[in-house]
Amino acid sequence: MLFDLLDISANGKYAKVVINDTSLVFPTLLTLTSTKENDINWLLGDSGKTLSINLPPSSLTQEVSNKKTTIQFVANILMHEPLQVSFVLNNLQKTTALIADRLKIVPPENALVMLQPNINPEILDAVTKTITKYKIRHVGITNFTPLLNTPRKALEFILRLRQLLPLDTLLYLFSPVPHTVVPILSYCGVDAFNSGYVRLATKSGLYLTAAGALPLTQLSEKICSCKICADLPISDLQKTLLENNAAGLDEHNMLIYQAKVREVRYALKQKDLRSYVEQNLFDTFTATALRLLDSSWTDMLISRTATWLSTPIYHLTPLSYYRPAVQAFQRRVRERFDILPYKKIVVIFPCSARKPYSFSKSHRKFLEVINSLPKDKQAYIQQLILTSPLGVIPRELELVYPAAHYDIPVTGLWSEEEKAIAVQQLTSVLLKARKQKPIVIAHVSDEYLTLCQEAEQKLKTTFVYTAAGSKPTAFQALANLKKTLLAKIADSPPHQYNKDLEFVRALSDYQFGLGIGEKLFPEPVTLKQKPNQNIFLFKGKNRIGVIHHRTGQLMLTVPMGMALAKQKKYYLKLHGEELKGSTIFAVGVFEADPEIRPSDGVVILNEKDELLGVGVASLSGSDMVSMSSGRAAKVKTKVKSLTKAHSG
Amino acid sequence: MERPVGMFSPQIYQIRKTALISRKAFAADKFIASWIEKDRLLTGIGNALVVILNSPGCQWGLGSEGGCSMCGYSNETSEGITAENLVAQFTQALHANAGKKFQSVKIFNSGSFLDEKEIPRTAQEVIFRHISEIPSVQEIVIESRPEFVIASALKRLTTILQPEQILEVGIGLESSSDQIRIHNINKGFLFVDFQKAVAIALAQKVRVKTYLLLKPPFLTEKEAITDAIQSAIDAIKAGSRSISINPVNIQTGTLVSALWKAGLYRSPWFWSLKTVIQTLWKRIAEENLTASVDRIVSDPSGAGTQKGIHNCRLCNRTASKLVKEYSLQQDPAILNELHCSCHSLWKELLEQEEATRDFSLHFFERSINQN
Repeated sequence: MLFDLLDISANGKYAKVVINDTSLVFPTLLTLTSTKENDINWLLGDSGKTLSINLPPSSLTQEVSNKKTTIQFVANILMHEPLQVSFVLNNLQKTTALIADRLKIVPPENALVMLQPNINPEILDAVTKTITKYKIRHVGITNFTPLLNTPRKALEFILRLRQLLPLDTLLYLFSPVPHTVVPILSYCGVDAFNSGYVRLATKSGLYLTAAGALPLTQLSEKICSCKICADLPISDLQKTLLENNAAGLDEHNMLIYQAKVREVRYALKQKDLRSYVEQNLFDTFTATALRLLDSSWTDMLISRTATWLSTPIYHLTPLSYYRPAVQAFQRRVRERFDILPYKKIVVIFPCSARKPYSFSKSHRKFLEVINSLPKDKQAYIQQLILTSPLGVIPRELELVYPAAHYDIPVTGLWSEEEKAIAVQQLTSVLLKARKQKPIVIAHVSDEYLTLCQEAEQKLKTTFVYTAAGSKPTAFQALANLKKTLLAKIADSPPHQYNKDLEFVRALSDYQFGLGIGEKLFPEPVTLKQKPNQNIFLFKGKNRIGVIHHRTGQLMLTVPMGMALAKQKKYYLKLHGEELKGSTIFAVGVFEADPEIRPSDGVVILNEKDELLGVGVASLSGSDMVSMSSGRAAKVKTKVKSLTKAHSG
Repeated sequence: MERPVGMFSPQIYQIRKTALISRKAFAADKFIASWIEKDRLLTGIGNALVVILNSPGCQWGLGSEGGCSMCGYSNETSEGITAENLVAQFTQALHANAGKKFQSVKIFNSGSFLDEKEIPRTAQEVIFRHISEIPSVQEIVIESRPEFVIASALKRLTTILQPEQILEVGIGLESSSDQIRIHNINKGFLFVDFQKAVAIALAQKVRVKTYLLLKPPFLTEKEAITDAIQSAIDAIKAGSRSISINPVNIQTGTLVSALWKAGLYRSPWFWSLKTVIQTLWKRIAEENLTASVDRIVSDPSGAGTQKGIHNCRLCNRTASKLVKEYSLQQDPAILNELHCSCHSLWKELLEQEEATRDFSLHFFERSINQN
């Protein structure tokens, strides 16, 4: 079996899998074709190529047909609630012996075991250990439907499986579920969905739409124009669809279900399944599950969510405030951003609709004020931008995903939730400078001003307000800001300042950890940027690096890699002396920094800690280690001579 | 007799122990229930007096093996019931139905009538003497596990009865598959034990009615249908001329009830019962067994409710009526009068359950009920 993980978004995987020379893309559909012993029972795949699966064994007798299918059931582990834990564990021993026996005939890469929901840690631990021990790659889930009423349990079960099983184990949901929950379950880590729901809906006279199911007989006008629905008036459509064993309705419903799975695949290819899930808030299961995911499974979600994307993100509902990308950004700002010791003044600006902020009309005016100050005094100023839902964005990080990529309905109305997030983030950032006690100038008005006042109270300090009662862009307010700034820095001595170096170091800290910027860039650099192009780093006349303008990511070079490797940050370790090809496979990675998230820059080391090259991670650090197949990272630059690159 | 113990026995025992703590108290001298019902008798349609006695209860069910996975009758039993109590209960039941005409008496005691630990010998005999004194009664039906069906016990009772009165012992075989009876049901006896009991009864001119369970837990609906049909054929071949098909109803304090609460058990469909009855008659004809069968009845408890055999809310009532009518008339064609749009959903669920081993698919029945 060849497993190629192409893209990942939280626990959702877009993967190419080749079994016995047939290649399929996941997530995909499972389709029941027959329950007769001699027929093909299940087909896996929804776009041309398919693989066959036999019928699952009974959970008590474990009898299984000997028919040759590509993927074969080897056991049905009896483990569902309300069965006693002791019984399940006891029975598992017998089932494990059976699995061992059957694997003498069925290769593990073709073997499938069936599980049932249970969230008991002891049971899940034992069951996943068996699966891992025998290297079984296909795991089925049945008896899942009652959990559609208990999203907490549903999440607990699937996410624990996703935590305990290697990421390249495929999860097949044999219980039929409505198409509306396919996106969220895919986001949780289910790889194949039983299209059986389509037939159940058909038999119940339900007409599927992207958002749900409608009773066909109650429709008074046509909704869809698929090939089944296209040419008929509604009354005929209703008749036609329900005649002949409702084959027409079934076909229409199948198209809707398929479309959902294909849209999930597309979203995964864009590495942003999260946005698609938020667009699919059609039922309480999805909404509840999303909420619980964000609050209880944050770390897991973040670790498998790309750090760097260029796609826009829309914050449409309060659920968007807690997206992993948002929480991860807030976390990195809290943990990896520092207000430098010589910053005597912090200026808080409101956000702008246009991103990055510097490109907006309002911020161009703000920056004009700053730039009009004496050059040797600008070093004292730290700019912060107050926004929702990211909270606080230091000027140095305004290009970074998702700071430059988010869009939010701008109404001037802040919900209590948004306010709380912003105040919390602002206070924790300002606390970083509590030693130097900077003067905080809040050049804000309206709701932003209220937020600043709340932060002020929390911090037990006083801010200077330079735009109260007017628009921050008003002439008077800008003049007031300039006057205040000049007054505050008047007594300070001139301070030499390399703005570009500060920028690159802050960005490096954000990417790799607090203090890493200084190690990567001990000497001054200059930045060169043309509109809508990548930003280049220069040391003198030599180009030494690049920042992607669409993602805001600083790309690693070999010299940076060497410095990073010395810090033991964002590294992965391989067996072997040199890099072959441009792909690092997970099977070769034996150690990796658990901080690594997909799309992060990484340094590639050998067993002796020598730098082999730099690249971009495809997986989280821990998944690289636990997975035995699939791509772990892409190599960007290889080190030519090992001796030169010794990092130790 | 050695009693084979099923894999779920410890859990069933736990569940039963918990349930018994909150067992309702019944007065020792009061029977649990009694009524007159229309019934299919050996001579045709007639009336039967049904008496449910308050007894110490099934010793298998109350024992350390926990009893059967679907049976909650232990909740309707009491400790310390004496022979006198039992006789008093029975005579009161006769009193309560005085003046009514019946040709059959059916005594249920949530256990084995022939087990002397449950119904002491004297009580058995006095009750039978009472029955023998009712001239209209032609049939007497009692229930027992096979291990208590022994020649001497039967002889004692038949000698009390009038020569024309027929005794029938109901034995809960449930399934002719040892695997299913032992593990899915935890019944604690083998098919050979049943066969022996039938032979003993027949030798004493006592008839045997076989109770079969439709849809034991951990079987798919499809497997349950197949099993019920096969079991009936096997029971008939063993010499049982009466078959009673009992669709599972959810009884409190059972493993089945725990599964049901978790959404992992659905009592069978009327469509399944129809399939069983009609296919069974066909098989009987095919195997030339028609002369070996007196009646194949089904009197489902809780019919048409969520806890009993049910289809959908549109056809539950009709279906219950038709099953009753079939049982009386013994004409399987009566069941053809059942028509409902839920039939195709049932068929679909049957297929999908078989292919997914998912016992929770009834989750999707709600959508059809809303239409």
